[in-house]
Amino acid sequence: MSRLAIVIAAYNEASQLGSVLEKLPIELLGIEKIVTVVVDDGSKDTTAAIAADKGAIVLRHSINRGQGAALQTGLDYAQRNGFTYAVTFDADGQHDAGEIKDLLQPVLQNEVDIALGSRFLSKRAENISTTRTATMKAGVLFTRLISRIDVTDTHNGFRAFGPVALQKIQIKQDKMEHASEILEQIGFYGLRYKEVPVTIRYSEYSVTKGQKSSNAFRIAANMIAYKFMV
Amino acid sequence: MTISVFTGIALLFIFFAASRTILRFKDGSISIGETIFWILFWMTGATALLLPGQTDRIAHLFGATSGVNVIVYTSIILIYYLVFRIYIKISSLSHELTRLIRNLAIESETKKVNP
Repeated sequence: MSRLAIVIAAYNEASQLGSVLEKLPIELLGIEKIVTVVVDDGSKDTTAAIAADKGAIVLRHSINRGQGAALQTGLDYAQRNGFTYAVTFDADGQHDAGEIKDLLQPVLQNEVDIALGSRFLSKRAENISTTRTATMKAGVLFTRLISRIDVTDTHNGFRAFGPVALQKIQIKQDKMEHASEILEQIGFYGLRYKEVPVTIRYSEYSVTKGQKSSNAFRIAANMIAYKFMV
Repeated sequence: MTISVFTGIALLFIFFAASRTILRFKDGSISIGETIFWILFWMTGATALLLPGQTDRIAHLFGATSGVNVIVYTSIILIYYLVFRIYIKISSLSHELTRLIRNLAIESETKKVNP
């Protein structure tokens, strides 16, 4: 039985989460059951109540642990409860719920173990700043050097996990570094992967909530530490 | 043997630190291995203060010009190592905390579904 968990890490996302959850698909071809799992990462607003109201399964972190930690909680829940597939999706309205089916397709067809969304394959990044584009391009080159993974978008939170990736990938980096860590683990376990073009809509809200370009240095330092010390 | 004011204060501090070490061992905060390491550490410091000439002799064995240099270099290396150990410990505790929070979150939801 193919079951899909849509995992959303949310921290103080009360203003956007409701509309994000409303747009998620309730059925998809090849999937018998879809469940939305919202991991409330210690929010101080009504994030958890909104998620529960919209029918999502809500996992509450009693204190804030970071996006990487929250995603792994959702993925752990999915694995422990017999879900065969998982999609990670942002809570701030950047991703397009209509593209979940496109992202899942290569995983459902067992073409790859994990599908990674890319905003640069078809230039589908709306309102992206020049600084952010430059930082991300530098990140791509850096990832190619360190992880030997050839991707066009290193920090895209829109991903689809198949059964093998769900079992193998264990996010240990609690904060934003988890995106690089996932790529590192794809290389380490030799998982089959593919990038799928996705749309990222930058809004004033998502830019405020998202990570800063200046985080790139910390992420790079952590990637080197992870590569050579873990 | 005359003891300078500086040496006296330093010896008092070492005595205080060694007594804290023993107290921490007694309340179970540190292991026997850690207790022995720190007692030896403080005893070495006290010896160096009381017999400064001996540190010069040891320094010459290692090719250093004076005992003070050896103490400073060794201290810096030791401090760096301890900072590294503390960093690793904090990182490990942080991961443990995340794991605990995660399990609580998942178990709490599972209990709701299967009370």
